[in-house]
Amino acid sequence: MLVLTRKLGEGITIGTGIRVVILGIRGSQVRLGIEAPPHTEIYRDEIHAKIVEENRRAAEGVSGQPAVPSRFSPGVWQRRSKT
Amino acid sequence: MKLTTTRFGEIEVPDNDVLFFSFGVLGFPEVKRYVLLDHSGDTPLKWLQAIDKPELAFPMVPATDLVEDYHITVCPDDLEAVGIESTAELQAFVILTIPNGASERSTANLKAPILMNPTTHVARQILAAEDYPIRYPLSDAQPAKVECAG
Repeated sequence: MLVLTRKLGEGITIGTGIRVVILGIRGSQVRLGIEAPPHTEIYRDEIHAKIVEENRRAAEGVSGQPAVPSRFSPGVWQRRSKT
Repeated sequence: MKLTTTRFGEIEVPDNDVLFFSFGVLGFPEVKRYVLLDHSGDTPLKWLQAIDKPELAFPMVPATDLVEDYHITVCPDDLEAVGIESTAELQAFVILTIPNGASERSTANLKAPILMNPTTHVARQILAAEDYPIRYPLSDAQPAKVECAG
């Protein structure tokens, strides 16, 4: 991992079009400003990891289809009439 | 096109049905082409089946079939990414996690829905700014509204 020391107000540029700036430091918290090209996905690490884990769990099992959860099984579920 | 899948065997899908995830689904960035398959029987359950990875498929339901007032704020950037101007045209699906042999403990990921542009077939998994759970137990869902005939 590349390690750089930056002061308040300073930033770093990553590749073309991504810039991260230190906007504030308060105690153990650092406030970052991020500039990136449109459509670049930016996530907090911990939430990104959780979604990835949940997607992997959802895709588990390679053969067969699981039982339909009763919430959506035929007879219980009925298409809502759109009135 | 002909498709080989581990769950559904060999299937034939119209070329026009291909959905494009330019960023993939989180955790599977290299898989960008999917099709949406109906689960058999009278159920809103669908499968997001990867075209180039036979074993990769996600069970999903339209978000509002689970939570009637499901409401998310989609940032303009995400809208533009799927090539749409108004959220009214968007379809939102939530991915279900159905534990093996314990479908009663199924959960839905309300936090990271799949948005689809039904016209261009461009899709993207987004992160809802709203405080929705990643594991919403299906047993907590409001009972489905059953409209009786007559």
